Amino acid sequence: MIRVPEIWIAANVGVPIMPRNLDAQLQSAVIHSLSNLLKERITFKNGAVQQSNFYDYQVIRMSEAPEVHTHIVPSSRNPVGIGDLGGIGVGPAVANAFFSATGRRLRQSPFLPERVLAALKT
Amino acid sequence: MISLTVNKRSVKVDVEPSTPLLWVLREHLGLTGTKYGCGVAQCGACTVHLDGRPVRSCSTPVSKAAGSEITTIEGLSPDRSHPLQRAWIEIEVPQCGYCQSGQIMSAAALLEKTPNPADEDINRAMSGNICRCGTYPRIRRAIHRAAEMVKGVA
Ligand code: FES
Ligand code: FES
Repeated sequence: MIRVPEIWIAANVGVPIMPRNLDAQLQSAVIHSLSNLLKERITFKNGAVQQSNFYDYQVIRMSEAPEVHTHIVPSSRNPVGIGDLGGIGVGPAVANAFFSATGRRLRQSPFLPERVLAALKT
Repeated sequence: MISLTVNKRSVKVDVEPSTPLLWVLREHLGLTGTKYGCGVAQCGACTVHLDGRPVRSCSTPVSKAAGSEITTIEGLSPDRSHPLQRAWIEIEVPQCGYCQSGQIMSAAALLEKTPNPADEDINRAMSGNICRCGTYPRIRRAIHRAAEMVKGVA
């Protein structure tokens, strides 16, 4: 099971209109993406989704939530909406961190424990 | 008729004993601060206190709550002055807000028992509360902040 204790993220969105909200939304997007990346998986059987609630669709919880350090790049350009920008880099960052720690590549998300184990055995 | 004590008020409700407490709070008593998330004790959105203990009201039959002091988010303080409420506002914890009543009720029970919680205590007490928006780091900070306020360091 991969654990991610801390994540750093920098964003340039032009003039930050609401810096504290920007900070909050970056943190949220990072954690939501990390949850997608490490845990969340829908499977189908006979055309129907097999998961029905949070007992069989696990999501990230407090004990697994990293500290997220945000940096807002100063800019005087026109502001743009932040959206879920914060989520984009999480997958590559974790995959590359795994590669530099182990020399193995994870190619398919979510990075569930069995897939991590399989990658380590290759 | 079932008699309940909710936020220090005595009320009577005409419901089946097996009705989930959450339904009684929201539909019969109009206390809609407590939220419905999963309905199966997995997410914590419906957390209220029974005699100071955090319980999942979606999975607690109303008959089990009779005879206990029930506290909901509305009863935490009369004027949003509870240290957790102040810390939550100061740190701007919520994103969508849906999970936050439950988060605050779990945190309030934690601080009652452990006034100066370490991150480990927070992990243990708060891992039953899902925040789909991922506000966990700010929840953590706000709990530490509220603990400081209680100590008077504020
Ligand atoms: S609604 Fe009660 S725990 Fe999710
Ligand atoms: S703030 Fe949206 S679920 Fe917690």
